[in-house]
Amino acid sequence: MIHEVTCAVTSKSQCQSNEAEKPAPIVTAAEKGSSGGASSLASPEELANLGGFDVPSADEARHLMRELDWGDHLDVMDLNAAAGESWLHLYALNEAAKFFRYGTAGLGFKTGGSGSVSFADQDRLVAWIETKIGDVSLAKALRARFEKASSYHDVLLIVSRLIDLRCMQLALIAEE
Amino acid sequence: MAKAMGGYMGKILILNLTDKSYEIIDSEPYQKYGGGHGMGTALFWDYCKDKTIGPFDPGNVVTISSSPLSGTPVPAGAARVEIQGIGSFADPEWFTRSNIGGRIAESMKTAGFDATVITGASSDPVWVEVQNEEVVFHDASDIWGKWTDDTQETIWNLILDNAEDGSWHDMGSTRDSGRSTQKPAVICIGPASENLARSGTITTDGAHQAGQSGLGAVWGSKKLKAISFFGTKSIPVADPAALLELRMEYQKRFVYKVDNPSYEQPDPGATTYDARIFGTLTRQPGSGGAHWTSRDLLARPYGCPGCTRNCRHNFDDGFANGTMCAASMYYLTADKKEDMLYAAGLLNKLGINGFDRGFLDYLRALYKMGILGKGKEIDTDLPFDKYGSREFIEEFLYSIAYRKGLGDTMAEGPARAVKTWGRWDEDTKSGLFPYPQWNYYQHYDPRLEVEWSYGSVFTDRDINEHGINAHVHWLPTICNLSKIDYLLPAKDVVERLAKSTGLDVMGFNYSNEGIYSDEKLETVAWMRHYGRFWLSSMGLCDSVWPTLLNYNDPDWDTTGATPDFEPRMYKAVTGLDLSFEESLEIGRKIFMMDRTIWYLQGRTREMETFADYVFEVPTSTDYWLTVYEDGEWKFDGCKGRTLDRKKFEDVKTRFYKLEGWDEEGGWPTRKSLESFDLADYANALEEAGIYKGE
Repeated sequence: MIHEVTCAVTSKSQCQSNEAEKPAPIVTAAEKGSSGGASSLASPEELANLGGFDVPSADEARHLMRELDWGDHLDVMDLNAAAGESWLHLYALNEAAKFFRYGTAGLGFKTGGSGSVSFADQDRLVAWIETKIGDVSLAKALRARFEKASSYHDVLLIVSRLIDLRCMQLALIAEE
Repeated sequence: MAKAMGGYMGKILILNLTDKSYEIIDSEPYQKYGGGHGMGTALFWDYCKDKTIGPFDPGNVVTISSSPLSGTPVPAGAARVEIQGIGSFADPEWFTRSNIGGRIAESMKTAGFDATVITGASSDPVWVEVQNEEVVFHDASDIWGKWTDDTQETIWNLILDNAEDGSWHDMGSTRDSGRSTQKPAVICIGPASENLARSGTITTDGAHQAGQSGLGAVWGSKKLKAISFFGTKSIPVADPAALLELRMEYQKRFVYKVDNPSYEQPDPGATTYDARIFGTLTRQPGSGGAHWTSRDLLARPYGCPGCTRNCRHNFDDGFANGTMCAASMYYLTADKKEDMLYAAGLLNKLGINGFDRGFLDYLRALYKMGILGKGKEIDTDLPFDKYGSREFIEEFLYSIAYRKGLGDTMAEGPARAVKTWGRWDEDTKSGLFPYPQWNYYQHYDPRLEVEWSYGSVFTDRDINEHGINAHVHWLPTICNLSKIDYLLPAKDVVERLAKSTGLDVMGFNYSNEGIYSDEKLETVAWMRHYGRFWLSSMGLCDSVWPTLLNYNDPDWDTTGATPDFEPRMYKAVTGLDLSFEESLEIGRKIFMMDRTIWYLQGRTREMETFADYVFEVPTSTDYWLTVYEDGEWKFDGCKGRTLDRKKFEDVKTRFYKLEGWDEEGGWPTRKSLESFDLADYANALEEAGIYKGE
């Protein structure tokens, strides 16, 4: 299953505090005993859960991984403090995987720098996967997990992992 | 003006590439403009006789100007030089600027000079060696064509006689002629600029690029491959003890505490992600922005000399060292993250500006539409079917740098290419090609964050100044996407910004009415004046300054370093008293000098507008900003907004008046120019026939 994430400073009503006080202390990755910067590749639990997706035939898998035409693309945005905000077009599921998983991470800098936020409207994203890509199973899985997401960051973690997993699965099936 | 007791080297180097001669002049007459941009504009005014020429005319003049603060221990202000001249990138081509960090500022000063002026043009490739006030012109035939990294290494080896890193180099034959273990700072161009690609850069070290001006191609047209600065001179400081105390005070109050941060990331998903999403606010070393999707390539923070932030990176394999900002995201959807890094490195080595990061996506859209491709309306052999691969990005960037195939058109810059293809009207109207003004790619939304867009359209290029943006936009954006409490409520943010700037709180209101208000125009003016003096002329780094709001105080005192620190730093270095208000007035004066030159080059009121999409296509997603509505301050997503043409015309009229320009035409009036002792600028406008009604 997807690792449940929580923000360390979400104890108050979200996002609308009007009190100018020092924020709550933050627990760092190191303090939590995390390796920090660990890969997002699937855990054994998640791999086992691949069965949660419908298993397509090889032809169906290739179809789901195809590159779409102009007009069927998804508009997404890359947000970066220094470089500004840039709209992009995604044409395939594996492009979405790259975009959300590490695509706009500024090359995966462990220490930051040019890091950015890969932004997509979550409803438009699910609709695109369902109707343009045609992956009803993935759309259903995303929708179910989004119900538990408390922030866009949660959404981003869910999206990046699930699309990643689905692409791995489809690639394996397509190669058979 | 009193004579400075520190900061300046006292000399300016004037290079004549046509006959390979040089002269050295006194810098004191130019010190009243501060340094950097102000000094450069004044030098351009004096040395470029015909300011209406094109960028590749041999009469064009390029200036490289440091500031009195360069090479001193001022925090995040010691490293930058301002490069100016008639640029080739903007449309129209006019007097413009770019800015570059690294070791170049301190090296130019320790070599003996506050500024360098490049005049004339060489018939053959040339590079210039500057060492402790001695100047030698070298034949550059052997290095013409080399990439930027190879160029610098070749020159280092020539000057240092292939000595090993860290060994001593004697600058001369006498005991007092100086010796150093350092490498010369070499500022150079790559193949793109040699081939007059208008997006060609001027480069120093790995990834410091002056890219947003088209001045790299101007160097190419002058056959100037590189200038090397090397020296052992000391940079005088009026009050070293006061400067060091300031540095320590700044360190204590405003710099991110690596070992004990006052405010660290909320660390969402800490067990799987290394997230430091507040790095852009806290100025965490190596953290120029949020990076929720980061992965673990081996890297460490790296910065310019004297920096307190160190926003760049070096990598384990050395490729693309120093990369940051847009270049690192140029190839966003590469198949492998290593190829994103490879693309960034290639941009640096070929010397291509990476800021046009949406251009690849736009070209691919044309390919997907069936407009661009082999045998298509826009005919090209570029392998768009292999988009995402290393092979594609190599061919694409090589085509621009070496003007091969479609690259010959693209080397004219994205906007000129789109105009050549006849797609400008349609694609800027729809917003598919989001270039709001002067051929520059959209940086922040021009319909909403208007001190950025107004500021850009009243100047010569995208202003690229983030001092207000970090607080009014990034603070709420990060908090909203994370669904965490705002670090500060909107009311506190605007009140803090108002105190730091001396402006009205309504100057930070981005409501549908607020963006056209008089208070907003005061904010636009403040930003232009601060930018012209403290950023562009004093060389303070935009990544840190102005420090309007502080997130690093142990007791959560949000008082920023601005406006207290800037005059104190200036006095500690120069010994001169300068109030913050006086500094802004110098900034206003410099802005007016620039504006005079643009009007001599053909600027009109009508030209100062935006592409159609800014007026016609509403914003479609949340863009968080501080908004005052129904008697309350809040952070708002500002969806569905466009800029109103009629109201923007009124903004122009009122801004012109505020700045002392002609309310209808926008040119600086004689009265305003003479009030700044700029009668010669007024005379030039009169001779050019600009003053029709005055």
